[in-house]
Amino acid sequence: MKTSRRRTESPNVINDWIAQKGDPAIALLVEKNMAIADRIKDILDAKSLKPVHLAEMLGKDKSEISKWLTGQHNFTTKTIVKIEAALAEEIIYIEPKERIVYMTAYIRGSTKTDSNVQFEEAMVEYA
Amino acid sequence: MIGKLKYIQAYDKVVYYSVTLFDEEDNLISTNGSMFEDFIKKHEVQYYQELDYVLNWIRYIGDNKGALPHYFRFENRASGLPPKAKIAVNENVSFVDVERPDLHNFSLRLYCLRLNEHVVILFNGDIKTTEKAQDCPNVSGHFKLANRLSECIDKAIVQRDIDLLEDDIAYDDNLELTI
Repeated sequence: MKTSRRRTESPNVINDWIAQKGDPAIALLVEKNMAIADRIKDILDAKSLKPVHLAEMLGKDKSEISKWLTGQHNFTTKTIVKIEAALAEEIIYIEPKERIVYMTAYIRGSTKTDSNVQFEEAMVEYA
Repeated sequence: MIGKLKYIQAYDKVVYYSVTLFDEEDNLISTNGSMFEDFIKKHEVQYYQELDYVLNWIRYIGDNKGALPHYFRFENRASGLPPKAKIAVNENVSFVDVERPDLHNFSLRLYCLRLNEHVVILFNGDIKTTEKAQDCPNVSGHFKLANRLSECIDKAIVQRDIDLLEDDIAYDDNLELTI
């Protein structure tokens, strides 16, 4: 009788190896490279471009672009910037870190040194 | 040589299988359980980082994206192979390939067959040491075997020994692929 294993069994060959022997930094590296690869693919699709077009823009072989899109390539910052320049789009955007400051409002003319001080503090976030 | 499909792991978007190989006398060739498990065992010490990358890549697309066509690359068929005559699966044998950052033309390559967005068969592979895989003594044999297996799997699908389901395949426990 034909059966679907997905519905009847649950081996964990891959997850078990990663859990026991994997390096979390490699897992993060895969995530980053996949995110970059997917971003390049999305930009190409949005601009109705094929990998061969990007290859021509960068003077690369089409097979190299195909490899980039698999997420199996370790991108350098230099390569990413060249792709960004060729496509006129950002691939990686780093948001400025938020700084938090406190603003104190004194009530009824009191000061912070008053013994019977009443004041409120509010947190304000700005970039 | 006989091959039997072996279920490896299911993720939300992809289910992975491999093949267990037996010789004509029914002796186990895939001593670690399957071709894919032989691949893991062989490379987990010397090429630990590359193997770790391959396994995490497999998990990532399984969990998040599915086996989308652009994630897979194809190798030109070696001249010694018969012409391809696929009917059921419109895919060639493809590969996952992770380069060693310090060595040019040196990568860990795993052959596989993408049946569709949800089902991938993982074969075996090795360290590729030449620019063209067919020139590499390490991987050319794995590539030829992967091609023969993919033709067997294709034939089994055509003959309805393997059913392609929406997110999996279904087959009988006794299914044998004669290679």
